[in-house]
Amino acid sequence: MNLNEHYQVVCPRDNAIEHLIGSQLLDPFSEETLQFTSALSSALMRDGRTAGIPEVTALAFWMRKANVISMQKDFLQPADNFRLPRGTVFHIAPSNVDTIFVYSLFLSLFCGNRNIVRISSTPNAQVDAILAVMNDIISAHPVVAQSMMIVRYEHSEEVSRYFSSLCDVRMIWGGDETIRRIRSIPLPPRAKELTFADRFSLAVLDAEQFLNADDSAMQSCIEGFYRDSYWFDQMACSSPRLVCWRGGEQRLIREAQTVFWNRVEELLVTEEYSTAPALAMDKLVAQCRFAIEAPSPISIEKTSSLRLARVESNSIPLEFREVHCGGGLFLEIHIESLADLLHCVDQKVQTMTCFGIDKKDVTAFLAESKPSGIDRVVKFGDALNFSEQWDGYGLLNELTRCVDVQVL
Amino acid sequence: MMTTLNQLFEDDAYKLGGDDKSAVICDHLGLLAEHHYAHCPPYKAICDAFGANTAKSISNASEAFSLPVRIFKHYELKSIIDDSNVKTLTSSGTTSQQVSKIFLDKQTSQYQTKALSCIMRSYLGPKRLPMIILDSDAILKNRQMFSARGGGILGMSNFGRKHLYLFDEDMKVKYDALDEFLDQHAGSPIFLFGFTFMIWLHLIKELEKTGKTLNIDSATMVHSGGWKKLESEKVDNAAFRQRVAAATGIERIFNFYGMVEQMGSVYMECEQGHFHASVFSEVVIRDPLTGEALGVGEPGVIETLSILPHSYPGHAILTEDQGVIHGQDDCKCGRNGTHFSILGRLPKAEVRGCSDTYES
Repeated sequence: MNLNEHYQVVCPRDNAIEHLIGSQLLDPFSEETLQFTSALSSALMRDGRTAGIPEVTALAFWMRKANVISMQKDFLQPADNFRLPRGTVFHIAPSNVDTIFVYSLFLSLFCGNRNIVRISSTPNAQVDAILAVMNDIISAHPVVAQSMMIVRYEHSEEVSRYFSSLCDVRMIWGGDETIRRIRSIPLPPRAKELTFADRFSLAVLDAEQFLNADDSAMQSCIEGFYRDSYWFDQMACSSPRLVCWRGGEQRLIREAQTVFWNRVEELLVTEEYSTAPALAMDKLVAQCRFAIEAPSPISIEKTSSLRLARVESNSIPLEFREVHCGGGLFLEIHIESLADLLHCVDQKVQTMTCFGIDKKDVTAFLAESKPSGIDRVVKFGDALNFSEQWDGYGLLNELTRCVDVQVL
Repeated sequence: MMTTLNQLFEDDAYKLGGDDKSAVICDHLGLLAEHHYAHCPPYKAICDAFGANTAKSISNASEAFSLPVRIFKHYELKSIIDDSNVKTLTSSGTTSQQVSKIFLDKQTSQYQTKALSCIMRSYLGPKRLPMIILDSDAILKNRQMFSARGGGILGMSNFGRKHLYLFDEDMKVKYDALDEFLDQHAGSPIFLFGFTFMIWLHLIKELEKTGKTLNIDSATMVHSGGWKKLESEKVDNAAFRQRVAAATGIERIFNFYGMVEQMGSVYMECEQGHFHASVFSEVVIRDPLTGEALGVGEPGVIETLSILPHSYPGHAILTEDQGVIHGQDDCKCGRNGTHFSILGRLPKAEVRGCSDTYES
């Protein structure tokens, strides 16, 4: 059966699955790949269609030469073994974090793999702009062009089954439901799979450190929090939903909360963050649901507008995260030490953003409490920064194969 | 002394205005808030979480603490002391899977019936008129758990006599029965009631398609039920009226705004095309982001207030509809109370993030 008509090759437009499968694997961090990466980085920064879009700027910044070289250095293999690409990687990208497919593709290109990237068939201006810029420059990079193929298709088990049968690694970005569905499609015996399931994230602040911060440190904390939380309307996996205040004294915590949230609200106004009325309603409904379902009373703190919605409690069950609608709805708890976090951390917790929390406190907590979740601990403002270390995986390692060479 | 509901039922639904009306609404809303706080634990939990003081009396309807309407889809909210004789009303739920469930005890049902009757008198006169129901009686099969459509029809049936259900089980017009009905009641005013989309789909489009016209003069048509499906056919209220008039000869056509969560205290459209709050209800327009009450001419989210619901906490509801207030006690139709227009549903929010979207 011919499946070619069931999917559309969008970049490079002249590639075909037969060519892709037959193409030579590249060396990890090959010269050709580095040149293409760097060219695309500057094109995305310059081109009118993509310049100035914050997420694309972050992507282009990640792809800049210096960062790629530093990734390459970290990846230098010890002399006694040898890293090779795994072969063909089939990426299934989420449709609404627009830049994930590019990160996923490039990490795999750095490793030297061939790539099939499935993106959503729903039209999306930002994705289309990135593809247009990529298509403009790709013909100048024929070696890399041969080893990638971005495709669009409506949900089709047949097509996914076909690509799965050809791959050595399947990477599924997306929610639990997508993962469940794709997982039921078999892989060749030697192939492996990386999944990026639904995750939730939290922020931790030390109340006293926050109050003692000078104005510029405080401002960068607020701006960082804004970026982490509001860039994707709080719907990115790494955006904090739970805000934990560390401190011994209730009075200090209250004071820190007042200062913090007042400044967040001020920033929401200057940034002209707009909440769709329907989303404001969703937040109100979520607050009411928390009030009804919490095992002990909660308190909904007054804010000047529903751009920011707060719910304070010490007893919000973990499953409440699922009620969350995004758009700036924060659950808040007080903790005396990081160890108190244990009851609100399960496997689903991905990123912990910290302000005023020392590395030694974090490592002591991880070592002693051994939480089943938390894959990243970063400072405020870095939650959305994509990195080669993601969801507990070292992706460059996962996408290569280690040859144990013992001869002299 | 507080004016009781029974006193209000006896009088014109649109007579009270200004401070007198405000006092009636505020007194009753205050009592209802206390009543539901005492008898509906989820309502109490929400009030406590928001720090809403239900014991404090209010001097303006906009001070009432309201629930978002969608909460009725998630929870069964009721303040019922006597469990006997409780009816459950559900929203029709054609567009969303979740339906609202509203619990009506005998007392609240009676209040709703009496209030509606009081409101309808203003449009139909004191006498019960021969009535055509623009629906099929098949909709009334299950009496214990009837939908908003069935409930609406039963509620309205009280204001007519000699009822004719115009559609058969397949929603086809019963022309012969109609001819007979019109012959029988020649010269008498007639009352028609139905749901907007049903009237549109099964009567008006049918007549237009077959080229038939009816000649039902001196009739009053009342309809309700939302414009979403008609909007997709680019039919607004004005176009609807015009095409109903052309196909049936009916000129007096009144839409009303009401929802299953607040039956009884419906907002009827007047001769000027404005919706009116009766003495049993009030309407507040709020800024969707700040919750602030807005003034005349400022569009926002509609909050409906009703002094009828005792068996469920539906006395103050923040809807997901948008509207604008035109004025108070100054409508050209002569009725007192707040008059307003509806500006459609709140537009849906665009969702971003890493959630599941593979379907797309």
